[in-house]
Amino acid sequence: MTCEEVFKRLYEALNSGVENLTSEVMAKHYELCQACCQFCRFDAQVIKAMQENCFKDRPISDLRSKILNDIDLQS
Amino acid sequence: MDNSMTENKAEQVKKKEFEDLFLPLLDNLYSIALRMTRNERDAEDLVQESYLKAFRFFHRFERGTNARAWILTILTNTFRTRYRKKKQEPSMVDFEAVENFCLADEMVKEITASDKSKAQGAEIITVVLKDYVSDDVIEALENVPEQFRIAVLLSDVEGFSYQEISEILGISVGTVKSRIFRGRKILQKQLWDFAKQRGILKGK
Repeated sequence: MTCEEVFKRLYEALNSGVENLTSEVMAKHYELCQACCQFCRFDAQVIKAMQENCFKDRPISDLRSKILNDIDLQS
Repeated sequence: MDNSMTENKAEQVKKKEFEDLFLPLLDNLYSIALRMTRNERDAEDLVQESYLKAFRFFHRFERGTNARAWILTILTNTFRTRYRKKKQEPSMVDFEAVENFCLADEMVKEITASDKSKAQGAEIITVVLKDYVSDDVIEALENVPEQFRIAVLLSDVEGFSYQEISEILGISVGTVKSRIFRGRKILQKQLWDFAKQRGILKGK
């Protein structure tokens, strides 16, 4: 499998998994190819950083109370 | 009188069920809304409006299905109809440069340009970027154009499958894949460019 083919399948593998055979071939490619290996590590790091940082924010006002109030008025 | 009491009781049950299902998702929805609107006040308004719509249309929610996906669909549609009109964001992305950008190639160039061995060079890039990416990922993400940003968020942050994202956004699975692929590529280029601007990478 070439680097180009690996990249084509990479995101499918990250999201929903690819067939075992393809995964094994990709894993072997990563062992041999430094560029792809670093790319995957970097990409995984970006995804991890997004997951960690995207949920740090909290509403500045009492949003929960506002929503409950809206629901009360609506019902 | 009896009918009125029964209706009141039913309304209370509905309210309780809605609150139990959807209020625990509030912080999560706010975080997503903030990444969409890039503004705290707009994010709060967006979430508040989405909850109100969700409550109005709660009778359409199929019990046992994915509540998070359902309310995220409402949030996304509300954002698209209301906030997109309000803020037509000019694209700051050079799409041609993004198309030509390949992170793996850039990494190889960086490793080659370093005085270290290939293995040492690769390790240094990974370690340096690991800390740097955590600090700047949100800014980089917010620079990704909206249609790609939302697809990346739903996939990489929220963990939805291509099929679920397709249903939330009302687009084909193929379009979802394409948007995620391009969104990630734009994000990678943003981060790589930031690193170069700050002198973290030589950027040959």
